[in-house]
Amino acid sequence: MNKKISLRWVIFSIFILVVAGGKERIHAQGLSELADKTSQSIIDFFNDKYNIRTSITHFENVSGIPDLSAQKFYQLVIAELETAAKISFTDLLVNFSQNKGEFNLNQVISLNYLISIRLSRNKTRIGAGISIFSRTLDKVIHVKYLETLFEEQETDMLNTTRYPFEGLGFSKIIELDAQPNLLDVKSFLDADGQLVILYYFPEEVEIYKLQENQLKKNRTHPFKWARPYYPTLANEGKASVFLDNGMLVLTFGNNFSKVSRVLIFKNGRVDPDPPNLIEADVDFVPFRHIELNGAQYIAGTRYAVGKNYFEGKLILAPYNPEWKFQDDSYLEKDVPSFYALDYATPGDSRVLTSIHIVDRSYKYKFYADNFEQLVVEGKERGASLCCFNGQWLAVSDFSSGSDRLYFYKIQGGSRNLVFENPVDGEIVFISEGAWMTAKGFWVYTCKPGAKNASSYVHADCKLQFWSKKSE
Amino acid sequence: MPLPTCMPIVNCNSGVKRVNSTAKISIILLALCLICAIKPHYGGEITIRLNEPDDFIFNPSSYSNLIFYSLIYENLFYLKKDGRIETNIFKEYKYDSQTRILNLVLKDNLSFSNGKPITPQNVKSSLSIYLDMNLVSSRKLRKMCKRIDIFPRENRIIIESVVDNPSIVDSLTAPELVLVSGSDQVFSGVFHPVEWVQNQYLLLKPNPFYPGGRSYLDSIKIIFYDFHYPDVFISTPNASEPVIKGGFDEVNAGVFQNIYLAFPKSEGSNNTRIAVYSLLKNFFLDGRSDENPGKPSKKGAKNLSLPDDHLEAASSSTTPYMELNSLTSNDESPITLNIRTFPFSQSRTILRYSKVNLYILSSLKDIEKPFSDFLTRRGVPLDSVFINDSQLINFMNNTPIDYLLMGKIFTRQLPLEEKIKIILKEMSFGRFDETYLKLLNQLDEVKYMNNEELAMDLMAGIIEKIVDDGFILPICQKRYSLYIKKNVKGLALDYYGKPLFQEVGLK
Repeated sequence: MNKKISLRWVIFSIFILVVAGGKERIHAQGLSELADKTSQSIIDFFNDKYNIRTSITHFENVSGIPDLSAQKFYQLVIAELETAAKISFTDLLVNFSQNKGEFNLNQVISLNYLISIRLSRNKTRIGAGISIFSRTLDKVIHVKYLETLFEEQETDMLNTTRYPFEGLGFSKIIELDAQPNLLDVKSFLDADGQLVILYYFPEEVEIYKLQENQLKKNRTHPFKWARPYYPTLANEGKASVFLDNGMLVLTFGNNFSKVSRVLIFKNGRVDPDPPNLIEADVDFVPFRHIELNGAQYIAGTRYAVGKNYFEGKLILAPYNPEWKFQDDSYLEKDVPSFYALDYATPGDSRVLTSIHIVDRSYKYKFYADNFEQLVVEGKERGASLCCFNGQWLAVSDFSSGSDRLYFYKIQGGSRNLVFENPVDGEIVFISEGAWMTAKGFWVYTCKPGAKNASSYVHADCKLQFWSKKSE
Repeated sequence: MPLPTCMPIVNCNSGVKRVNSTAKISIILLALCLICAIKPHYGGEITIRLNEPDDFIFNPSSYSNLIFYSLIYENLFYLKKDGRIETNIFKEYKYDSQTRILNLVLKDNLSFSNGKPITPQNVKSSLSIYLDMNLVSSRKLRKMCKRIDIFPRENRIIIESVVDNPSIVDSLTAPELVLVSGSDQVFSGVFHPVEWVQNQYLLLKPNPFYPGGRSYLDSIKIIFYDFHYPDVFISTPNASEPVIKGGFDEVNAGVFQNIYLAFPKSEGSNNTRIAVYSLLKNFFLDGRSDENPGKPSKKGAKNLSLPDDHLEAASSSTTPYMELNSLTSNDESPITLNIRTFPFSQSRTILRYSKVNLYILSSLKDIEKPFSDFLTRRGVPLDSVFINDSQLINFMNNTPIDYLLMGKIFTRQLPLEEKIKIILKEMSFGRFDETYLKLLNQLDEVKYMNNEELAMDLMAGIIEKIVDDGFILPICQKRYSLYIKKNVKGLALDYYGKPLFQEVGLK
């Protein structure tokens, strides 16, 4: 009896899938057909040309289809252009709202062709007007108009599939119990290719190594913070890892000391052999090693001492392999004081592509590589954030209670929300890292415990690792 | 190949109605999210109305002063309302019964408000100052304390007890035991003064080195004038004004201040004493109305230009003072005292023919102007002199004081026998003799009595004896509530009713 029911159920399910799948194909037909035609037209145009560095720098939708559909159209077009053999395509879209795309035009200098696309309506048909501008010739060299039938139901279907590839998105790989008062976590492969995990607490850093699929404590390095020492009601801290010329450099900044501690392991390993370890202090909190206009910098910022946010200053210290810096040589850029910051650099190079900030009003701010602030939707907010490999940006929601984790694609100076996931507890910080063979984000969450006079005492804290299957 | 992606975009297919309702919901959700924002907010200023202190030298003689000094001086230990002991100064405190030694280890890197390190020597000096105070709690500790030694290298202080006393840490939770640096311009508390405009305000900024963690606030402004309405103020309980009821939370501090007339010297005419006593009762309780002496009047209170909390209370009830018919509190006393008084006209006549100097402790400074106005208007020739509470004993050594008006702060939680003990020890001055010692021994016995009725009988006898001896007469009692504006969060009270501003912030 059970077998019969199961068989009927399987047949019914297959029928539903076929019908639904077919329907989706029909629904997506118009949009993908127009996108195919558009991308093919652009590829064809570039077919007899060489050294093509191009990007869409203008995208407008006056066709009446929803923004979501226009956005989907854009993504389908760039998906084709990015894989086209002869074209070096950069996605510069920062935001799409009110029928218009906003682009990071600071990257235009490296391009030789600029593409403009305008979606318009012709009765029941949707058209795409394409124009291509040559920066070398300084004029529009190609104009084309394409049309396709857009079924009425298609937009409805697109609206219901906001995250059509969710299954391939970021997922939680592992969850570990963690202690309260953890300031930051970092994980990386050392000179021997062993996975090292650092747990940064106010008074010490605990260093673990992954051996035979088990985390084994390697050492605890205590910190002796010197005066002036500023006790805080809420400790905040930031650890960073720099692998540099065979050396391993770990930095630990916080909001209770004016200096960050730098541990330099000369042989690239976190072994407890003192001759290989040099300790130093720097007067800012290092974040990343970046390259800007051909020069190398250690990019960072400073905490507002004793408080839970950063001063409104981005600091670029000219790189010195011995980690000795002079504050009069720093490049500084004023920004509003903020809770979270990260500098995005592609994994294979240190070239700065963008800067991401959550200010003290929990507003998300996006800066181009020349520190120019780019427009984002006013409602975009966050609390913690972190960049990974210069390709992904993870941002936590800014509310307590039920938190959420948003993953943006930020490759090439653009920024598009791709995935979002609910998270149990409140996200305290997000940090870049690795686990086994996967790379992604460490997310430290705490559920509020007993409430004291003004703030929660964190209890039941977890450390989660989020990664994407293809990363 | 990058994945096709989508931006979070509002559904444009929704109708106008839907969009409106969605927008409303979004706004509500946004507001809720902001309320629930996960990081504590740093910034803002709150105003507190208190009585103006004389200086920054620690002197918690009134409830207002206790609050003020708690902002700029840090207690070695706190006794929380739930009985927990906490400290921001020591990373370890351990009592060893075998050696009878309490070990106190300072936290690393602590500093005073000017960045000067906090050392074991500072702790020792602070303990010495406390032990020299004329307080029951400090005397108790003084008796049990054999020696205090410091070990600067280990950041350690030891207190050796005469007898085994595991509860020695409890004795260190007294609100009067604070960490001082030796300079009245260097502070250990959560705030430090930066600007003082006499009779106007005092501006406090967060102490960046405060051992308990920097305050969320950018500043606290303590105002000394009639300001509508500060964020925090003290007043009489159950204020009925709609503005206060709607916009403030009332916290019963569990603290009251008794006002006594003491006669430190045994000389002096009994009639003059009764006349001074009657006059003061008249002033505090029913002397506010010129038209109808004996009955309290709101109009009268305003005419007297009562300062801050007087006015506050006068506008809501009639007087901030309650008649005191016992030594401590009417509702806990086993007996009601019937102390003889003269009618006002008789008191005035007696005082016109007596040369009376009334000394008033500065903790009652808020009555200075109204009392002076009262005397002028009523034509009573009486000289009043205000003296600093901390200077009283020195002053008495050089000047004969016949009449002393003084206030004493009590917490409701303190047992009756302890309050009587405080009166005996701290207000009997040179009259303390073997009779009082006997009374103190009897008070100690009360603690161990199982029969409540017998204990009360004994207490009643002791109180009668004290009043009969005639060195102190109770006048009135002032009760306190703390009013806190609803946008101020994180204000807590300790076991002694002292507000703790360490984690105060703005919502």
